[in-house]
Amino acid sequence: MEKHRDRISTPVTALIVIVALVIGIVGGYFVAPTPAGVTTTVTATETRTVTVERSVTTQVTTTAPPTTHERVDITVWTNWPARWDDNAVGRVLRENLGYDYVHVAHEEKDLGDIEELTLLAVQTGMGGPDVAQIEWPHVTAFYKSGGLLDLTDKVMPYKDKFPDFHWNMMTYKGRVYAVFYDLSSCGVMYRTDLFAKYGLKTPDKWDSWDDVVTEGRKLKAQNKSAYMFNVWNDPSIYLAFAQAKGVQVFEESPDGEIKVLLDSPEFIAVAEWLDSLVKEGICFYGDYASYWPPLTDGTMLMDVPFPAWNSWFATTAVPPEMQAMSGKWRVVEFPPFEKGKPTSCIWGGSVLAIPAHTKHPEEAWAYIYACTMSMEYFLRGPELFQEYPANVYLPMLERPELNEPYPYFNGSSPFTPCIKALQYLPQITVTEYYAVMEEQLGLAVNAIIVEGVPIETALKQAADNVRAEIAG
Amino acid sequence: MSRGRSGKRIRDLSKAYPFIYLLPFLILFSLFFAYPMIHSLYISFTRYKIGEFDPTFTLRNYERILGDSLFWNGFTVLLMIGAIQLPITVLMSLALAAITYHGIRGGKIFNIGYFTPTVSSLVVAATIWAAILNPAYGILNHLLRSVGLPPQDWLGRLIQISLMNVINWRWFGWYVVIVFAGMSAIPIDLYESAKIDGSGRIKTFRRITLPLLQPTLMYIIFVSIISVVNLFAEPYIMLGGSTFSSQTARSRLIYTPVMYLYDVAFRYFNFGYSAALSWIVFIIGFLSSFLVLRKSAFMRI
Repeated sequence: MEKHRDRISTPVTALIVIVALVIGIVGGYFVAPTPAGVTTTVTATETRTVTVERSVTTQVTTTAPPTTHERVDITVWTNWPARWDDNAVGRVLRENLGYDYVHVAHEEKDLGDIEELTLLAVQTGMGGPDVAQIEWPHVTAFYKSGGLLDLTDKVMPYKDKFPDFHWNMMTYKGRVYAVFYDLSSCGVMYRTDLFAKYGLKTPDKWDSWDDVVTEGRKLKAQNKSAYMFNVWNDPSIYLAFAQAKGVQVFEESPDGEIKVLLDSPEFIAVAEWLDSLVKEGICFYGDYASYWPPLTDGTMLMDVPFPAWNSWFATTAVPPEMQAMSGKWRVVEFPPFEKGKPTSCIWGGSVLAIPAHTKHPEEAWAYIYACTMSMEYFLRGPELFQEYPANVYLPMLERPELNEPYPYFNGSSPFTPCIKALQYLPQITVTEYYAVMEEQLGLAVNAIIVEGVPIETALKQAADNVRAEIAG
Repeated sequence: MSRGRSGKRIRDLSKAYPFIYLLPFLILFSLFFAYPMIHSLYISFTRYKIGEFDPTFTLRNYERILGDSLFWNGFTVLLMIGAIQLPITVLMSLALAAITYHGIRGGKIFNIGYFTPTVSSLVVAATIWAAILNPAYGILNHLLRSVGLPPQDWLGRLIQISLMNVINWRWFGWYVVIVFAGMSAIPIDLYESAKIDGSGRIKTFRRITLPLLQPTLMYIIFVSIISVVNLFAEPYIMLGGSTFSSQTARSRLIYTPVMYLYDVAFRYFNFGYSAALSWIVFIIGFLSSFLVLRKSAFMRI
């Protein structure tokens, strides 16, 4: 009997383990949250007066918190440092917006990882964050998945508080699924000390890009290892210059037919212009690792395009070498391509979105509201993270604090030129194939500059690959 | 009577033991390997993009591969890497294994030296190499400048050489161990007989070591081919990984088919096409390794 018991016990144990495993797997499948179909309720809004630091009193409209007060944990994935968020958005939610029961678990991740993992989450309807930061042109690919929460009812009351350009970029077929987080309209910053050293013109406003190139040639005549500006190997810079020149890369007809214009004569002209500057040595071409050192060792005189995030240069968030350069940089508007015709472009920029299967749509929305539209977050910026946030919400951009001169920027404001740029940002056509186009353009740019492939050939191949993807 | 039935049941159950023990593996294998493979084969014959799924059987994805310049460019890259890297791998492994086998002073440190990269984190290794090779601020160009040589564009035009160097540096320690094991398995009697017959070192190596090492070398070639066909992590990280991926122009010079199919799946969200690409990569990898095995003595041993 004992012998039999021994012989039985092992397979019986094995069976129990297997049954448990199967129950676990099957159970996990059924217990997992179901995708889509999450019903959200629009909460009432209230107007109240708050007094915050710097003795600023302002009228703000905030979303009233729901009545439940059980602890709610929300997960947020962004690429900004977790320590900022612990001190900022979570505190604003709890201390200013009445969401004292909300706890934010912020995970700092690379944007590429966030997009891939969030995509998997919205496809499967499981896991992922409650709020995800996504690069704005890439979010278009998520729209078709149906996996993002429709925020139209939430955001619509604030429609006139966003710049037209950004509102159009946030809207997909009349619906809003994501809210712009950061101002990415470009200005230019340059080193006043180095411009003086090389005897270059240091304008308050460039007349045109031709002037930049002329000064660049003067620089090269004096110092061959110095560069006027840096495009690094970034396709989005090519796209930014194309936008500033009013060149489209997509055209979409009302019936949804998409045309790829990457190999159009206009876009080829943009690429040829940048390529000629790289070949002349006016413009530096390198990888992202090469971005910081030339800004501090005196070999890079300008940083362009200049998005508002560079206002962080004035904080201790940047490397000590950059902090030590206080007073040397100056910020001006993006140079026009034709004299008297101001233009600008956006470079990067991201949105915040909520996967539709989130268990906490209200709290996730409150998070987005807190860090994109709440004046409390804006006004507490210096206290919480040393700087005013560079959002695209017009009531924030109209605040006098943003237009004050900064000692770090030689008496200029890093925000003013970017805010001005909003008036003349050319509209662009963004489709769900934007990320594909960006990837193909990156390969083409590298082939042009590194391998010496003719511009027209490389761009034609890139355009054909995007067309194949659209057709495929 | 009752005891008899119970004993029979136990005997019957004992026949099922192997299957019961195998069941956990089979369940996991089916869930995480067989099912995804079959499913990927299925979706490769459909149109399956994010938010769009048309289950109608179609060869469209495979037709598209025929004219996909990026995919075939990837295979040209692999051919070039394979053609240069394979002989280097085999020769270097052989040489180092021979040195290890015959023993040198400080052999243990030597062994640790070449094997350490194999056990180091791939991400760390590739990141460090990317920093060493950075054309503007890397140590390598700094060294070149310090001896009066011109700096080179290691991550530009020379990126293929840089990649091959990283792959070799990382993997050949492992190959050395395999070749060393192969050498150790050769009976010492054969060497003693050869010595008695007056055979020199070179002749002994050519007539005894090399033929008896053939299965081991074929195994190395076989594994190398599979690694080259599946090349992903090293070039992916050297090109910046997913960090700022959308803001980094990738180089076609090391843009491998697996990197491409990964991008198609997770950047273009075209799962059907990505599945078709992965099956073609699999078939090419399978055929090339099969041919190598058929041509070798490895199959006969």
